[in-house]
Amino acid sequence: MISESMVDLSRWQFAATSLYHFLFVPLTLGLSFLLAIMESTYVMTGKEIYKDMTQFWGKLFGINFALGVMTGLTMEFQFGMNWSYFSHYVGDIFGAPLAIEGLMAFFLEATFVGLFFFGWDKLGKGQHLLVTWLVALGTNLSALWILVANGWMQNPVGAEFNYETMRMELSSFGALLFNPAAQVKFVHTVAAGYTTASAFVLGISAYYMLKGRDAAFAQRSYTIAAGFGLAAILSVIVLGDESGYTDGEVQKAKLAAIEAEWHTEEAPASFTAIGIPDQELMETRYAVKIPWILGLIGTRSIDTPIMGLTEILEKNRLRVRNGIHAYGALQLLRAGQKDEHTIAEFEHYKQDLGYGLLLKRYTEKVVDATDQQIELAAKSSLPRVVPLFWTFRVMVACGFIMLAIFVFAVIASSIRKCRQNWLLRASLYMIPIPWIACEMGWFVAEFGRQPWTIAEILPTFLSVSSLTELDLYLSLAGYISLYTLFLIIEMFLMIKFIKLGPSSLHKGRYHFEIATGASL
Amino acid sequence: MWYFTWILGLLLACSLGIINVLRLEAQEAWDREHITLDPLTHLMTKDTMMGRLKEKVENSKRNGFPFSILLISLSDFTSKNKVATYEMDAILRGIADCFKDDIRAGVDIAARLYDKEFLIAMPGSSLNKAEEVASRIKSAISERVKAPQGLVVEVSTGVAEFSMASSALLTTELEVDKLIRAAFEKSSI
Amino acid sequence: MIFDYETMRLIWWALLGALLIGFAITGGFDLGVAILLPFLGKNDTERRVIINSVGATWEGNQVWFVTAGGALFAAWPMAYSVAFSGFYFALLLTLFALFLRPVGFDYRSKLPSPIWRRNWDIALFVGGLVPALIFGVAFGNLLKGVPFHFDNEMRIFYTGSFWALLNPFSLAAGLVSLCMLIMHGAVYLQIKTVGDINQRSKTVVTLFTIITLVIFALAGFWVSAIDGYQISSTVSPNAFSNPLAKTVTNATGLWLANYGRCPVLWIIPALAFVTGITTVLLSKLDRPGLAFISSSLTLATIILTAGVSMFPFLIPSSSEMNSSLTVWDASSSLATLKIMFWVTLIFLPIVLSYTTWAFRVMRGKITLEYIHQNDHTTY
Repeated sequence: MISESMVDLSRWQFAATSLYHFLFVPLTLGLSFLLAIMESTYVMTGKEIYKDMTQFWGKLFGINFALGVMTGLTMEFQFGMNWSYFSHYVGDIFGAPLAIEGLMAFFLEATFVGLFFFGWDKLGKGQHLLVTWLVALGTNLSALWILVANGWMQNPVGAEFNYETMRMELSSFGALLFNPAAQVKFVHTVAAGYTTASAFVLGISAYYMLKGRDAAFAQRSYTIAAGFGLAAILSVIVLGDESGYTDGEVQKAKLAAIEAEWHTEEAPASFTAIGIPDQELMETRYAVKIPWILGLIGTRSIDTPIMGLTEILEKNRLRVRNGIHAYGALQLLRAGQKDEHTIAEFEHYKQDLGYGLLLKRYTEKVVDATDQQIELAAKSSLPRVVPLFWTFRVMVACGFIMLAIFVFAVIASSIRKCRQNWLLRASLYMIPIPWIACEMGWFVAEFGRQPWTIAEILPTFLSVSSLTELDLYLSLAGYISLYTLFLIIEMFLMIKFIKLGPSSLHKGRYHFEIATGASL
Repeated sequence: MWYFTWILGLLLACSLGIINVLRLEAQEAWDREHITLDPLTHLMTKDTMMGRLKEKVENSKRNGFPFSILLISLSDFTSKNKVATYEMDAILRGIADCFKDDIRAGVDIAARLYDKEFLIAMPGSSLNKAEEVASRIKSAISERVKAPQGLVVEVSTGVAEFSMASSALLTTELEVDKLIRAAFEKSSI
Repeated sequence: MIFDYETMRLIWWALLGALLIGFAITGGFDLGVAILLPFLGKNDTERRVIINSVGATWEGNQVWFVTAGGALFAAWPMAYSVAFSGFYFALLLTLFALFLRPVGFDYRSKLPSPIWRRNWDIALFVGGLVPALIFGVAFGNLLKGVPFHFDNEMRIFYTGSFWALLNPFSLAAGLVSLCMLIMHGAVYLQIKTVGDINQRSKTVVTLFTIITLVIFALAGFWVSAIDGYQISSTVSPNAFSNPLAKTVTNATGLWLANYGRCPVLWIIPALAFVTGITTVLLSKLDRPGLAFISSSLTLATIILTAGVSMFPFLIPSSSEMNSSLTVWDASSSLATLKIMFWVTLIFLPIVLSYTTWAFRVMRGKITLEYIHQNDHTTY
């Protein structure tokens, strides 16, 4: 049996590397479009200041992009290195979007990002603008395909298990691509990226305005970021809601866990805003409930109930027992006994094969599992509530804070009263908030899918490679130290160039070059 | 269907960003066209200038860099020489032309302070720099501005520097007045 | 067009090879240039010239590697799983070395401090050297076979160590890889630079082409002395991918069996030598553009030599031969192969055309003056 600590280490490593990667991705996703907007304005109006804006924010984009690429390499390697059973078991489906991501998106963004930085003097205005838009398109297409892959992990449609090859195999590419989970995740995630980049530009522009430096530059950057950001945060919130609805349909256990919905309430269910959920007792203490909200949002109806964890557990106990049948039939098939009866038995129970696999954590002999082991396996089929409950609420709170500030920012910038100190300070302090929201969001997405890597098909603990703990300690140590080192270097450079502002372009028109401030 | 929504939403978001900033540009352009300028020289009038000057001085205070003003006066010249009004106008226009090119757009301010006085504000310039600019403009005026009866146009100039050290406690209004008065004194009027 | 499983598998073997060769030809010269950086650039501006010769296009080139990895995952998931989890430390080292590249290129010249720049130069050097070496070592180990087996549920058990990967034959393969990429990088530098750097790169081209061909020839003789693998059961090229359903034999010199069966294949290694010689000649004749085409062919033929030699094996198992991964039993399902084929057919030409456009836009020599004039906008 695979050691628990190996599984834990592998999970910690994957969590660390992906959360780390996602520090840089949202900024890339959004800032690429902001650059495209700024450059479009330059081409439309002919005013040099917009070109300066594109080049300055482009410099910051480049510093960030380097780490996005660096940490992205790890992700591609890690599936094979640390999760080789997963890679074999679902590679037939999962590998395709990753390869398409390379062909369609990575080539596009990587080729044109070079031209973006180096082609100012070699390309015409229109050509360079096209280059910038293609970079933005490339980064977003990359998000599309990786989220098609992740969406399939959450809702594995369009695939069937093949006992001859002992893996899942693709039956419908259309189902994979149009998977509702993939669609909603994609739009929600890129919108989160747009919000992050807008908050970044908004906050830094506010900083310049607070210091009375490069006012014309800062005001225009602020205005663009405010407009784009408001549309972005509204999309994020609407699509977050849609995510919840989709979860209600395809990932009931995740939704129930996020909402600490211990028992099925009478529809429409109430929303627990705050409380202290207790997994042992299966109740939430000090709960502050808002009636009807959860039912309305989660099911878009007033009479469809949201299944509670207790009811899901009840169902899963049965599914584990079905899984035992499936596994037993599978063993016979693999041993060569491919008669009609065995095949029929397997076909009948195969959608619960995953639940049978949950037993492998407690016993090698799945077919002879005791009642106690079955109970343990069923219990393990639900994710832990407390972390999900809080991370979700933190993410939503961040979302609403950002909404408020973006609304004010747009109003202020349209009446040209940006320079209110309270608004500028709020914009500045808002900078870390979208990052917190993004990381919380990914935690909810991934931790909420536990104990599965592929929901209801492949448990996490079975997905790992057969490595030793030493291997993991070494790789984990390597990742953490290198990533920390480069993060420090990146932040140092980023802050240095932010402090310099557009003077770092050496065009002769900005603050540190002419020691002047508010231009009118 | 969400993929379509993404494309639509993105177009909407980009448009919002662009429209927002184009509105800003339009408003600023309108402002620039509707600023009250002195009809003769097309420089700022005293009132418009005073507000801007205050802002510039405040900015210098906040960011800690020097700030100088340069005063150019024709009073001496006119008291010594009798010149007809329309000829006076030509001379004033000529003087304005001399320093128009030196003005950094959006940074420096040039205004017709009084009937025969001009004021140039140069953020970021120290006293030495301002004096340099003053003498350069002075000789340019003498060379290039044509006066009737072959007179050489001699202007008197005065410079004053705002420095952090001297007036930490005074309000900006007083500082600006002080500055202008100092420049006047320097030009020995 | 009706593609059966056998045809699709063959097509995908070729496509994977094409992607790997594509990486060698494009990303390969970036690696070569980075390795040559501390030697061909004697002062800061010269080094910036070298870095900027690849600066605008290196990221696009690296995507060939990423896509090859993705294609391996998509078309040969079992091979991806075995290789990446088996070669754990080798890949970890490669990955860590690759980390140094995006940050090295972007951050190096952002600060004027010589210590800062020196350290990033070393980082770029390591980031070029380690991957170039390890790719060859990995390939060499594939030829030798690596110890892995499966349990009944296809869980992979790799029983070799990192140090075992550094056996003499594989190290020789690593040297071939290293030297050929240095040769290729030097040719590229000859195209993009003038003056001293140009002269130095010409010397490198001649030197390293000769070294590459010599070691390649040695490795070729060596291959006939190591154990090759052959499928001994009847091959069913249209069956489900099940590596456990065959038997395999190994014997000395079997890796040359394919050449024996189909002697026209000898053209491939022969071409490697021919194009190597033309590379040197064209470089000396100051026709670096043609020399680049020639050295690209050298790379392609060297890699093809190994691939053709191993066919249909992808990853032979030295501990349980019958579990070796071959083209016929390690592929994805027919559905996946077909879809991936169409996507590749549509997008690869698109990629090639805009990549060509990008190189055309950035054409021309990088001179010392260019760096001085564009101090703040170049790498």
